Amino acid sequence: MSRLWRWWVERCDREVDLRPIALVRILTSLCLILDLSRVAQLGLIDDFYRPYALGGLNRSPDTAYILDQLLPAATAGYWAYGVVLVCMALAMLGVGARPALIIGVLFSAQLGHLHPGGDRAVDRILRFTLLMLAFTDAHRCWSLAPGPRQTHGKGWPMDMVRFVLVLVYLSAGIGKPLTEPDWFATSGTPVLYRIFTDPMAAHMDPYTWLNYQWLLRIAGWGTVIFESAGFLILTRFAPYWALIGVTMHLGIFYTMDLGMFSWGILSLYPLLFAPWIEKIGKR
Amino acid sequence: MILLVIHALLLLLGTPGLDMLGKNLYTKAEDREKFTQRYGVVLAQIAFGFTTFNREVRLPLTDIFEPLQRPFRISQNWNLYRDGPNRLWRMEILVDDRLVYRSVDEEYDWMELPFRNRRLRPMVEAVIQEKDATNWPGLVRFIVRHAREDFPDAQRVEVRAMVGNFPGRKMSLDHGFYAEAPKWDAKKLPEPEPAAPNNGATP
Repeated sequence: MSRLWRWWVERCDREVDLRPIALVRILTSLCLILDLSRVAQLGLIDDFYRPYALGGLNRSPDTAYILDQLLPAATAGYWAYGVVLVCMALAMLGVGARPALIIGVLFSAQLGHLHPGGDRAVDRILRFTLLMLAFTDAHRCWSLAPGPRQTHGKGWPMDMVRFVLVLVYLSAGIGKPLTEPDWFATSGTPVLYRIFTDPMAAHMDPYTWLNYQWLLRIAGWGTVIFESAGFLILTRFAPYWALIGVTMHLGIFYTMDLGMFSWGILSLYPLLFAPWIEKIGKR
Repeated sequence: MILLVIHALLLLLGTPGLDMLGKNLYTKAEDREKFTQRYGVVLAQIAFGFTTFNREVRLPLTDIFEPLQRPFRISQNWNLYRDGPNRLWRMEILVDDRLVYRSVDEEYDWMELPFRNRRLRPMVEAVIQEKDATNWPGLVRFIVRHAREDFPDAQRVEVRAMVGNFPGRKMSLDHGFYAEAPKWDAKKLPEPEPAAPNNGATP
């Protein structure tokens, strides 16, 4: 028991290369900036972040939305939107990163509470990651902040992100066949066919893909097996597992309309490719 | 020690497999009896062990820690895409009886980009797939406002939820909404004749 405990303490105390973590800081912040900028580009800020009574889309914000009690209700959402953008830009540049990350997460959560329908799983995962980044020294690597540079720092905050990624993938992998046994069916309509050709969430042509159901069936089996093997993230096989993950997320991006989902999750992948990034860094 | 506790809590709050179980799953004697008859005593006992643990340990803990996660909105309710719909749904929008939008149809692509935006798409999906979705008045009001901007002479805007079997050769109206000048109040379309049941099989 004491050996196990010692291993755990040493693991939590160990110093790791900060470059993969700095890359996560830059990429996750960039994802949120681009995602929110897209909302502005489409002219949807008013619709998403204005109260329903003033013409907004969402009829039932979460009870945890409190900004309208601190600021005028008509403009509170706009303030939150602006604060998140500024905080993410600062976090990406590494300037005042710790407060920027925490404030950015709090205000991003308020945006989510105001428009819960538009706040998805990927937002929760990214917010958790950004919160964990605030406990790292990632802002001392690849940043514009004044002060000393570091190449190594504490690894435990990113171990938590890895652990959450394991739970996310395992949950998806185990949940799929439990809720829909057809994932492993050898006949009938493959579940992936229904997903990829669902006009509400994807844009593949249902007629064309009727001819490739065998491919989607195999891809469906592969998806469940891949996701159920999410525990490999905690092993030295993580980079190899992540290569398949990259393929899967690019496939999702190409076939479905889930916005930044794929890029958001891939922005965490430097953690999985950390051993390879470290090797490249040493050259 | 704190980190170990936090890891354990993360595992408990988002236990893969349990995160999708309903609170009242297998609480009724008749449900348990049916399950036991179908899967045998050993499997049934294991399954009931998990559901009891979920109900009596995991979910109460989730309730305790939910307020801590709420300010950051990081609670582990991922609900990642698990399966597709059994039937194929499309949204259609008609302005003065002229079709201007149909989901994933290049010919009728008015407002296509906003409707496909990840923050609006789930709302569209919910309103089209559930006739009593909470946000239908908000979505219809949004559509009407933009339609009046882009078609200033419009007198009527109609939003239709069309449904059919994969791959969608024959689609029929499931439910819908409309708004008319001069008041532009959003209303539900009269209920159409009930559609035939379907098991999702491709014809």
